[in-house]
Amino acid sequence: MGKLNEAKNMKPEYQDILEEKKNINDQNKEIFKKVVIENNKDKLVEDNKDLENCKTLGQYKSARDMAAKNRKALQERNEKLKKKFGKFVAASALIVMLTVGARVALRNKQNNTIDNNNQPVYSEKIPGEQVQQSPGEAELETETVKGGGSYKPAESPHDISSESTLKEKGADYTESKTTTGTAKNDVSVQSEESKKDIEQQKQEIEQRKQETGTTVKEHEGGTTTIKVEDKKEVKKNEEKNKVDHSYGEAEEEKGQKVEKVTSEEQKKAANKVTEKAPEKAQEEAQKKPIEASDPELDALEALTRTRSDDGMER
Amino acid sequence: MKSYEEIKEIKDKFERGEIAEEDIDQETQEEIMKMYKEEIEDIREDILVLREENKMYEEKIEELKNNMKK
Repeated sequence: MGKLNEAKNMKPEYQDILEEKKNINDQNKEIFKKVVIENNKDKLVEDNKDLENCKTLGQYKSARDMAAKNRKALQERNEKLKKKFGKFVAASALIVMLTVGARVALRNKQNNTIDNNNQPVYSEKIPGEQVQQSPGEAELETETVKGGGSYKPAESPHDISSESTLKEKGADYTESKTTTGTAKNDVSVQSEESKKDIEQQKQEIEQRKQETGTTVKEHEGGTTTIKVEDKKEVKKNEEKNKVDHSYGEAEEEKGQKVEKVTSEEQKKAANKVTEKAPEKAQEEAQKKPIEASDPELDALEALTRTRSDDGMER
Repeated sequence: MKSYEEIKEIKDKFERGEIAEEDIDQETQEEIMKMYKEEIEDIREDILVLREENKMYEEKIEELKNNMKK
């Protein structure tokens, strides 16, 4: 209720203000009129002297009609100029508002892009700066050109400048509006071809394996090369290895036999020593090139040797 | 002597073509001529003011045009 009463009380005040404003405008118009008339008084007097030439009522009437017609034309022109002036004022105000708004937006943007050290952060690209790309994009960006090496496509897909230069240079290339699509196709074609080649090589290797022999993988600096060897050669090598091995085994067997023989002799000797009298044993022990002077110790050593050779433990 | 109202009524009749100039007496014609003279002077004043006003608006529009170009 209080607010309504305030509004009711405000309304006549507002009307009074409007009336005052109108009065001021009228007063200003009167002042303007007086000033204009004062400045052009001499001209008006000269113009009014022409009316003295009018002698009849008809002449006065025509003079008044002509003046009224001129005034009407001027009034129409005045209205048009007022409208034009209002439009220009509105346009200039709009331009001012837009410029101010743009400046404020720019300031806000700059204020928002301040890092922790109160330094403005600019998101514009520095010329020469490398932009990080996803691996897929990096692969697709380079496009292979037949006979002309590789070139980097223009930033915009419809940029014909790079294509035209390539045409001038004589490079043969496939025209495409979307560079990424063609790059994808090229990659897929290459991969399919390489897959086919690998499969063919595998098939050939398997055929050779089945026909001739076995495969041997060799690692040289990270690359694996598959060699196919003849079965005959492999067998020969295996036989060689076998022979060598058998030869070694035979030698080993021979050695064992020799050692066994010696051990048997020693056994027999030991048995003899045990069987024979200690005097004979002493003599035999003396015959052997043993530097030991004590005959009992020698006999004991002989006994231990024979037992260790046999691997027998008592 | 006729009053201002009577002279004005005769003038309106003359303008509408209801009364011819010859039918109006000389004294009334002179009074009507004075009224026409005052009207023409007022119209000329209005014309002067309107011309000045138009001139002022044209100058302001030019200023705004120049400001917008800048």
